[in-house]
Amino acid sequence: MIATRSEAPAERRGLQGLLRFLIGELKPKGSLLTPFNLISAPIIVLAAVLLAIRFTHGLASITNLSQEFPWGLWKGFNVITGVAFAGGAYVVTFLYYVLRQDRYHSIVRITVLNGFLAYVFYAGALLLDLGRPWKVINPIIGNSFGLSSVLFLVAWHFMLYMIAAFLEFSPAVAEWLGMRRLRRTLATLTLGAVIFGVTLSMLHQSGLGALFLMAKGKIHPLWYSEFIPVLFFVSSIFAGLSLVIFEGTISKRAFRTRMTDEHHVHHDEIVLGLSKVCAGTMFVYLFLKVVDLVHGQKVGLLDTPMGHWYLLEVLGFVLVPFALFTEAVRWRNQMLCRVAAVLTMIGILLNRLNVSIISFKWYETAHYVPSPWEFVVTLGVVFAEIWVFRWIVNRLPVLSAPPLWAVEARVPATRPVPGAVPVPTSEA
Amino acid sequence: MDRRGFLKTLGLAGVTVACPKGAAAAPPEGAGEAYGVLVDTTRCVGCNTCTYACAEANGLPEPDEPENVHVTSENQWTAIQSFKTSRGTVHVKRQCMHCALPACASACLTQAMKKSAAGPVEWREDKCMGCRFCMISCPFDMPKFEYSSAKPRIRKCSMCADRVRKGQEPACVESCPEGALTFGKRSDLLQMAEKRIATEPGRYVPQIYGEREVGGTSWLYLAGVPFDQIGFRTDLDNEPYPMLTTGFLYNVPVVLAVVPPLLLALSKATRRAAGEDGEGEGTGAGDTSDDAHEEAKS
Amino acid sequence: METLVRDPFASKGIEYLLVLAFLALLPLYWRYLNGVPRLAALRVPVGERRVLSGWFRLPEAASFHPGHTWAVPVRPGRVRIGVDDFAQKLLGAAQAVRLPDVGTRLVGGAPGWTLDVENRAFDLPAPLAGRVVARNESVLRRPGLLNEDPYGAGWLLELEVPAWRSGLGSLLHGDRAHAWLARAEDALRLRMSPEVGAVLQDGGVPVPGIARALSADEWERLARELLDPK
Repeated sequence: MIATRSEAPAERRGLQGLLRFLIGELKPKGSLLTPFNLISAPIIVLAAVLLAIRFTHGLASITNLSQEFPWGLWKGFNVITGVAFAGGAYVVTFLYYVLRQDRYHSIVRITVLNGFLAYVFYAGALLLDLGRPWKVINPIIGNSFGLSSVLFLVAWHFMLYMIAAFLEFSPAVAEWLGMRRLRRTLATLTLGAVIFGVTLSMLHQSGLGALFLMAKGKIHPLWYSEFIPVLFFVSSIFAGLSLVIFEGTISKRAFRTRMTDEHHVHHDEIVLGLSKVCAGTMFVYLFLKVVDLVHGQKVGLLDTPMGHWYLLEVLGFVLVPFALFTEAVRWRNQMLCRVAAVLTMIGILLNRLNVSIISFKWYETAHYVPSPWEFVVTLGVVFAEIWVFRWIVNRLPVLSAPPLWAVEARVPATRPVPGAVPVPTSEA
Repeated sequence: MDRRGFLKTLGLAGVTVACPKGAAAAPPEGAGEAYGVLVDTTRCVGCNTCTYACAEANGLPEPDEPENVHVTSENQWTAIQSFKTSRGTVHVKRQCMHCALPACASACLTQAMKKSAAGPVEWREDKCMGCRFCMISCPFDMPKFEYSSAKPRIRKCSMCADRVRKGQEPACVESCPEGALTFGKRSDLLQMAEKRIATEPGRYVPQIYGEREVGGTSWLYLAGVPFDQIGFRTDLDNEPYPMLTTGFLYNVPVVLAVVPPLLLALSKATRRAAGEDGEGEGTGAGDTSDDAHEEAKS
Repeated sequence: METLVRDPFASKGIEYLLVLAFLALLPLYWRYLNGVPRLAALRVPVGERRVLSGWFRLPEAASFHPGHTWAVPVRPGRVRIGVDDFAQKLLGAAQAVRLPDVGTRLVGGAPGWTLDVENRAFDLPAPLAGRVVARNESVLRRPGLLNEDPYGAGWLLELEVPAWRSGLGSLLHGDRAHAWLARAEDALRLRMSPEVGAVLQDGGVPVPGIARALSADEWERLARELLDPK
């Protein structure tokens, strides 16, 4: 089979050669005047300008944040929602490295890369929102550990998870740079990083929910729950996977030529497998939602305006995509899987924004509505992430196959295909 | 008896939470005993003298028509709210309640918010990174943020911590012409409040707001009408707010201890099931199957 | 002054009932999610993958025996079987199809039926064990159906298979089927002449079948070799 191989030469000696290679790689590949670039570039530039204003004139200069609503779109969307969508990385690494579901092989790297960048950009967006970002090292350097703070835990786990995700991805970097020995060392760390990463993800995905535990009375009771950490964790599983399904559809078009044959061949099976996991976890999630309603004795609240909004979220964007995923899996219908994934993503977006913004102080007459500039900065962060993502995918062996040396180096010659029954081979 | 035990716990909690190193400024006398302020809303006439005194003592801008300002802000740490009730207009001075076990301090990931043993909950500029999680967590919405500043600070009543440390009363207490505010040890204030309720049962409702709410606050209130009629949140539990997160936080070490070994075991078990010979030596295993895949394709 | 303490376990009873209902529902849902819809066989062409070189069709719903026969569940306990695209194209137009009678017990992997091609008989293995409950009478009348639509109208038998799940599970499915077909194709390519390759590449099939197009003299030996499940 002919697979697209990374063009990077296997051997590259000396610092000078490396530098020359890096500079060469910085050049854009392909036309810069694509519709996506024409839309995203001005927004990124505008976002940068807005951020300059924000850091010189204070948050009030471009945001609608107030004393009543201290957290707005940047935290509610970028951090709380973005990190939920980044959950695909820990689920897929769990499926592949721990459960050894080999069919996910071809999406492991791109999912980990996506997760890693999501953390860098979305958790990084926390810095934009911090009033005093120059003090951000305080909870890290140890002179002022706020050990009792959920946010302290979440912040540390963000950092540690970024390291774990980078380790999981690092063999690809070593392959790109042609560093054989380094690659071998890094590859031995993978399983450890995965196990650590999955555990950390469990904790900080639920931790994002636990942030709101002390906002009791300020969040509408339909969304406030003592189970909120569990709800956040379980929903991050299908949130992340829905993004993987969605992103796969886009990548299949955008990076068509870089995808390996293996990826093309397995793509449908992968989508069906992930959809099945989504359906199963949504089944559990819906049950948890019912238990939460009963436990909190809030069934009576359902027939209020906020209750209708709640029902729209839970029925329209959890129950419906759940049913669609189930049928899509049974009928092996790819299109339906994608539709369900998009609906699920809308549902997660609604849920996270409901908890962090929309139902927050629902009783206030003047509710927070993000300013247009907040939207621009939010979009700018998303676009910037996509730019970096694209840059990496077009250069590193993420979708494309790793260089031959990385494959041959440690493969025993006679090895059956993992997970397969002995495949009958025709005698010559 | 009951109260004494309760206070003891409070004092201990205050000390352990606020200054793990025991390095905080020592209260002027009676270590471990927190100070507080008793607000008697039946005596307050809403003259705003305290508002001016507060601004002066804390270097805040001169209040502009404070009689029209009813919520505290980053520039005005105390505000008088007025309510028309069955007993005429009632004025309520509002400011940070200085909880015994403050939500803001437990929310703070840099210990910028800190409950000192003497009672005040203080904000420390050198620690704060401006995440505003304290504002999300505070049940009374007291911390305020300077949104219009490039070097913003969290602002709220500090109970004049520096003055308290020197053995003085907070500026507002000192300035009150009606004797509506009383500064003292919290236990003494509770006794005083109970005595007032007992001697003039017609004047007061039999409740001291802040005695038990959210685990007790340093600022205590007496009123002639039920507290929900004069803007107080009466839906708050008596449990301190930080207790809401203990269930989650206590479980973190458990998860970290249980999950990784479980995952390791699972990965080992699946390797055997997949019929691999396991020559990948533990951690490299995932990657060897990686390569076997590649080989199968090339 | 004492506030009434709310019973912290007020809803516990309902919660436990709910959990019991959930646990009862879980296996049902699990079966449903992993089940095969009744009409799966009719939908075979849906989701078909044109893979590898695109020479041979590999329907996703089908499970394969290495002897180039397929099986698809029609409904629980009932499985439809037939000849795969590879065998059909390799052998070319069949003169006749000889099927066992209804009620016959087939043994998995043992010869299940016979195709007559160019006066030579080829036994093909039954993909799994079961009792014949239906035969495709149309394909008996018109064997060409087998070549026109091997996974659809060209099906051969329906079997009653009580242990249909494990039976299908032991066959090649999905990625495994794909890997297997890739090997079969590689083996074929080794013997391929450029002319035949070009015809296949264009989506066409040599009318007399690939085997005869490769070698007019030794085609029978070649075909038996390529169809051999071992």
